[in-house]
Amino acid sequence: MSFSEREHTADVLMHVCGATKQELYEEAGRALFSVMFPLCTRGEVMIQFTLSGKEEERLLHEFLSEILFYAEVECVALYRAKVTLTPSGLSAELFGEPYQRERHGSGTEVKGISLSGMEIKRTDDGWCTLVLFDV
Amino acid sequence: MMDKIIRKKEYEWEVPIGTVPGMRVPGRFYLSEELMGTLEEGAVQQLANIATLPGICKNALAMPDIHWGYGFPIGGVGAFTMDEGVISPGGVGFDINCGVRLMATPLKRSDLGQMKNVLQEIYDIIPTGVGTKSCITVKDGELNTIMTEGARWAIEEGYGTERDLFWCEGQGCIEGADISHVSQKARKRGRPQCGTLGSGNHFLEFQCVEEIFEPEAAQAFGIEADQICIMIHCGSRGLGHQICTDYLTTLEDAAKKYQIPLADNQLACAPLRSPEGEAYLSAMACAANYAWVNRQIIMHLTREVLSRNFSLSAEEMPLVYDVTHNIAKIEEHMVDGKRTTLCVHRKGATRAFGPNSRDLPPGCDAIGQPVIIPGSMGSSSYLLRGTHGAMDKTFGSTCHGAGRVLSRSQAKKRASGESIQESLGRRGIIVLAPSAGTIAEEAPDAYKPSDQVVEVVHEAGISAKVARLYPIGVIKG
Repeated sequence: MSFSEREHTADVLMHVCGATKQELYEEAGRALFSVMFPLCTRGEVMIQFTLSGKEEERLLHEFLSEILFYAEVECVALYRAKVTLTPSGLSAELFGEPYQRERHGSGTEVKGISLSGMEIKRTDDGWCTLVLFDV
Repeated sequence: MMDKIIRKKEYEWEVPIGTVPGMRVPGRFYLSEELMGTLEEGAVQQLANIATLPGICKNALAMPDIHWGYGFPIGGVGAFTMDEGVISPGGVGFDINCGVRLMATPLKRSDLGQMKNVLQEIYDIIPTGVGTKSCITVKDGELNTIMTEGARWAIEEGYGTERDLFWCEGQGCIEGADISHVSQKARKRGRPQCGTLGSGNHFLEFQCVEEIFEPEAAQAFGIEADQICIMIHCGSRGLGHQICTDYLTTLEDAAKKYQIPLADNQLACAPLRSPEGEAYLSAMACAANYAWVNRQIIMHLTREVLSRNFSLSAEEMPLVYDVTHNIAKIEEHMVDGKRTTLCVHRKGATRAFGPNSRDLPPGCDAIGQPVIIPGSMGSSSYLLRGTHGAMDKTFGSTCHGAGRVLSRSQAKKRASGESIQESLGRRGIIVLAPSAGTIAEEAPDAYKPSDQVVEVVHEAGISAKVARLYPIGVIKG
């Protein structure tokens, strides 16, 4: 549904919401892409991975950390994530294009996903949480 | 929360027990009256949270560059006893052994001529920004040696001189690194990045020594007025980021297992004497050692460019010192008159060992260790020295930089990268960066004035000013 940046002095703090938990994960991915690859809007490259685990916050933390890993080792700029929740955890598909410094150099490197403040709650706006990116 | 703060001395303030539930000791921070307006409630809360952790010794501490981070505040220091204390990646950060080194040259400002060409040559050689790979290929076996031996590996491979090691905190190595505690993912990220600057607040800067405060200490550190120096600020890149990520979940589980209540999940921790705590400490050492190699290679590549342009040898470009400012280290400190082994976390804080301490560089026994404090893009950096005051009050620690006051988005709204680049240019400061946005995020106004921050640590006696350096050419990561 949406994500918006909140004030944070050292890092990037995002408030993320989704109508479903699945959508919340996808929006959190989009929030991360908006920081790392603001100019990436298309994608012929797809990366797939699965994660196991039941605890929602930990799964979200691992999902976003996995995006950082794949973006770096596969040298891709990403713009969209499709998430399917499964009985054992989740499966994810990431979409983007090969990283090019000239095109994507304006992005900000995210060093890690903090656990600080991450708490998935049901609100009037759907499922929401804060996510803090260390930049 | 802010109304609970008590002024103890001109530059020392206390966050009393009870400010947040479960505090075991008071928090203490160093700040001037004029910088009190920059203090955020979130940072005070994070300082108080450190004081809730088991085995915390004397005080949870914060330096004058204190600001709101995650886990520990930036500028936070926490020392923990070995028997009851804990180790937490939240007290180190994702960028393990992010640090700074300063290299001297025999050049003066007038020798540089068209500095932009030299700066451009370095910019073209040293990979900067997101998604960059090193020009040096590290084999898997070599990565093992890098992670266990640190800077020595680089020297033996020809990326520096034996002397460089003696002028590096811990001689560029933390003992106890065990590669079996480093994941394949971390290794995969680390291999292509050794010798890269990264992005964010990382930089390589040409600076000119503008002012000497203590001639004797400056001479011992090899610094003189008008000299050109190179400052390098970066860390352990993807390898360190992945190690922190890997251990956050391990230590979150450990905190549950050992029934340690957490005020903030990023303070995930384990007892120092537990398998989980020991595993993180040894993996963290691997990343720290990698970071020292990273800075050594970047310095070597810089030396090569300066050698070509000015016919200088490596010996004519000595390393002044290298400090880490995101680390947890096992050190000995005097506690209640007894020499005690502690695990000192410094997150955005710098070691500042005073005279007659262990691990001082040659000829510095009477002076203390060199301490390097980078300023923001358009402001002065400082060379300080460690003091007895730091040993008495802060477990031998001081600030690590100016400290942010504006978020990155606020900074971008205030001025564009292009206009900042132009205005710095008018002041004689050339800036090269992968994007204008990076320049805007790191604008001088986004930080506390470095002069005021350094004045606090100097006046509070936790380090002493030796020299002030002014930026003239900046490569932003």
